[in-house]
Amino acid sequence: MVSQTSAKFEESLKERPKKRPDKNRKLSWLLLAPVLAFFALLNVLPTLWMLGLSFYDYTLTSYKAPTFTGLTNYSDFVKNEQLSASVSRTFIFLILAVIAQTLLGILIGVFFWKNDKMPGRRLALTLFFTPMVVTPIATALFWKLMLDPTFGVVNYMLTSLGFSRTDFLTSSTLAFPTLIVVDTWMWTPFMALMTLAALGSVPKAELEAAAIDRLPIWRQITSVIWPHAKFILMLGILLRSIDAFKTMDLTYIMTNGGPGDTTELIALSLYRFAFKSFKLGYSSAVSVFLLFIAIALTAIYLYILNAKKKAEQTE
Amino acid sequence: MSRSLNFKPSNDRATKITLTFACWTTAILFFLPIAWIIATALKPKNTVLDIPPKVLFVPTLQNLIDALSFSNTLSYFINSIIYSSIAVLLAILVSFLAAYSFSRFKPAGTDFLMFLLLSTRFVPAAAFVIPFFQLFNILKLKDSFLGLIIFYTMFSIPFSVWILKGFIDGVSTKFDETGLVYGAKRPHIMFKLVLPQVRSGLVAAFVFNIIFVWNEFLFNFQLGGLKTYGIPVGLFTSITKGGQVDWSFVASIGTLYVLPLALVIYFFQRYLLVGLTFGTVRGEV
Amino acid sequence: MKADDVFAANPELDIEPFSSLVKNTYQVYPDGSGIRWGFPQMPDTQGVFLRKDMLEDPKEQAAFKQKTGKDLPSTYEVLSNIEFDDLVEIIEFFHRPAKGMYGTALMYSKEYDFFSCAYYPFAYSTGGKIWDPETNNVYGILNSPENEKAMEQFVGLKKYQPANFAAFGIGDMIDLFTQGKAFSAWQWLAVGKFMSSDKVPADKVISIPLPKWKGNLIGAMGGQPWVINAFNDDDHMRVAVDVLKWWYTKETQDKFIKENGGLPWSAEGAANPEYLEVAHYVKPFLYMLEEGRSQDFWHLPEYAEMLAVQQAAFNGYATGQVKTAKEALEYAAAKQQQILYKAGRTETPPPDNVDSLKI
Repeated sequence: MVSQTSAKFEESLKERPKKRPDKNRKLSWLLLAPVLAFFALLNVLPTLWMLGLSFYDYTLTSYKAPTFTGLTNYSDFVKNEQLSASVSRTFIFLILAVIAQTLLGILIGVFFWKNDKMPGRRLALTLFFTPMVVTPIATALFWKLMLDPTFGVVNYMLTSLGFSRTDFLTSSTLAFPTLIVVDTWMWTPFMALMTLAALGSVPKAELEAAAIDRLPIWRQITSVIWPHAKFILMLGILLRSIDAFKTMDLTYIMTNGGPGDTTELIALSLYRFAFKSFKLGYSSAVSVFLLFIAIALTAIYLYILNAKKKAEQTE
Repeated sequence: MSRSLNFKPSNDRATKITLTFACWTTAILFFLPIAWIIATALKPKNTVLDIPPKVLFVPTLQNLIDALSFSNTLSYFINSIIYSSIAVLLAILVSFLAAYSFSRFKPAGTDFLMFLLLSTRFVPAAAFVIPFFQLFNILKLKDSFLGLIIFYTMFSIPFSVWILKGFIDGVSTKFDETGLVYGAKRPHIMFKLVLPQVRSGLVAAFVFNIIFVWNEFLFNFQLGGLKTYGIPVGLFTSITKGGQVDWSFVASIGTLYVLPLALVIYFFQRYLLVGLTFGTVRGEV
Repeated sequence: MKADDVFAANPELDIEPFSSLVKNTYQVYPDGSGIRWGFPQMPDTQGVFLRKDMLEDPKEQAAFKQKTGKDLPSTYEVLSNIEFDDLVEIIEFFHRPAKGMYGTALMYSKEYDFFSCAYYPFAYSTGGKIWDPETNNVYGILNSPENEKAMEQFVGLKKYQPANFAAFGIGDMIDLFTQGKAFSAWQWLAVGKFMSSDKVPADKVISIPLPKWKGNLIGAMGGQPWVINAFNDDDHMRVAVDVLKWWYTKETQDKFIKENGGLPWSAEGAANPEYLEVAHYVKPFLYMLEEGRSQDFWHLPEYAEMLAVQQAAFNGYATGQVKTAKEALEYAAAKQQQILYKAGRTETPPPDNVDSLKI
């Protein structure tokens, strides 16, 4: 079924919708209106609100009325090295986790792709996808239990195999890598899913031809797979990066940012400012800053994609 | 052919056996922690923390029954079903209109608007909750299904638009043109000619967004209330009982949680895959 | 809204507490103003839960005598006045990790106030202060040599605990103790009812007040009050007061204390001999609730932020991320001074290097 849509797509490439005359302009905006209304009410408005708040000293628990303080919140944030540390920690987390998930996901995805008629494939894929659909509130709590040195099944197995009891979540050296492993467990299925979809978007005929020509594997990847698959793969990486940047449930439940602040990621700090300290102005400034980072990330991804696309078109 | 590496689905028997083994092992490894949760839900409550862990036990449904009859759990489940299904269906409807417009008319700034839509995902939820909280209080939408449905509709729109635009791009404009030539009205073209051809996209958008909305916690927690809380809030607010984590309860909710989603994935698997090919649009950002 | 107003209209709700600790911890704000806002709901103090069956085991008693030359205490009368060092000696004696039995468990978690409240008695009882409530200054007070020593002593107890001690909170202690994995646990007395299970039944458990540090003891206060939201409409306001009236009836309190593990905090309740018989944890609770025996931390709106800062730093010390107790206290004191200075509660600015301090 994947190839059908591919064929459709090939067809559509040749018949790009041509620019229609002006009489359709009204209709086009009419059709967009509901989505734009939702967007304005639930996205633009809160964003502007947040931007506005970020220039105020506004703390719900303070007896002081909100006062305009200009860029003070931003400079406080930039000056605070504890927070910059948590931003860079978040980036390290993002990079390591997304790389691990992408590589593993591609590998597993290719396995399943190659074996498209394996017995029980549908069931196997269903089992494999479950980690990403169960609420992290439940899975993170259970990981915490499973990794517990006293009551955890992981440590029980380690010790019965003769290894020493390992203290995964409260060791300042192990906690961070452990969270990356759990995040990878949770999200590798997503990258594998994207890989399967990406491979599905490659026209079957081209795969056949490449196999018959016995192209070296590397050439197959660069000249057959990548041009078709890159959009979906890169979108997968982009979505994962944005979500990894926002990781909160995992750290909140498994370590609460500890031991010390070794797993304190920025979304968790932000949560604390907003909901434990009720510093609305300050947390808005941090949010605006994060918004810029996320937009920049996205712009970079899109730039890479588009640059490649343009290069191909001019070839 | 089997000797050279390639990306074609394999036909070679030995390769297939090896791959089957590898795939199943991977699937089971990834599923093990979930299996542990399910096993915990079926264990007698007082054996949950036993070391060595109880692997053989007489399964009991008591924990599941207890969890469902605890406080408002059942109504939280029903709430989740109500707001997630209505919101996602609504989102898909308006997204289809928008995607059709984006695909066929390419209004000025299409690329930019698509990008903006995706930007809803950018910021940690905690950042947006406060403006929303204040907004919902002003509009008197707090703890109302209407409020949650409006919110989750927005929440589901970006992904739906992206998926559906890809699919509609894949439907030849000849359908539209032929329709117009024969004097069909635009709604007829959209709903009778184009819509049936993007069914996979519709189902994929539905499945994906249901998973997202079903799992969303923070906004439900802050914008909802006792009347409208969904199941993640029901779980989160009842994790501890008497200062101690109630593992049987968490496991039971986790089990009840994964079952419907697993069924959805099992039966709609091909839509998930096809949906993610975005109608196999490439380089179209 | 002000509790005083509710009391004026409903004098029967104005119940005389067992000690001023109840009033100062759960009712009055700002400190010393005498204005009451809260209604006592579940006052809480700290104690140590011990395995009575192990203490009473004649074989253990003989072995202890042989090892230390002392008698192994097993009665409340002796244990309730025990010195810290003597308690540690007993903990060490029962610490048998190879057999899956740990000597003790305390709270070091970064969660909420877990580390802080477990640590405070060590500091308070050895002369430490956490701030100056008169001037709202922290720096130079929290980071004192006394507090440093107290923290080293507090974290030093890790050698009698499982490896993940630094993550322990209320729930972990309950699990550990009720699964029979720990001889003792330093715990809030209000969860006393949950400190037993079918593996460790209640008759094998005894609870005592915290030990003494050279005869001194000041614990930390826990628990929480009821408060009434001033933005309620009339209907909600009436219902809220009705709930309080119901809560404070003899029948409700009886049920709460006898069946649900609640604790008596009123002068009348404390004098009721029936309540003392309900469970072993009532006696140590009232002992810790005596005048001056416990105290609460800052009553300021900035408390959550101050707490988060020190929880991270202190927990960092427990896990080795922060090398010394001195650094952890230094960091917390400077950041808290900054928070109070920015909130306009003190004239004294934080030290100049406050922004560059890291855990």
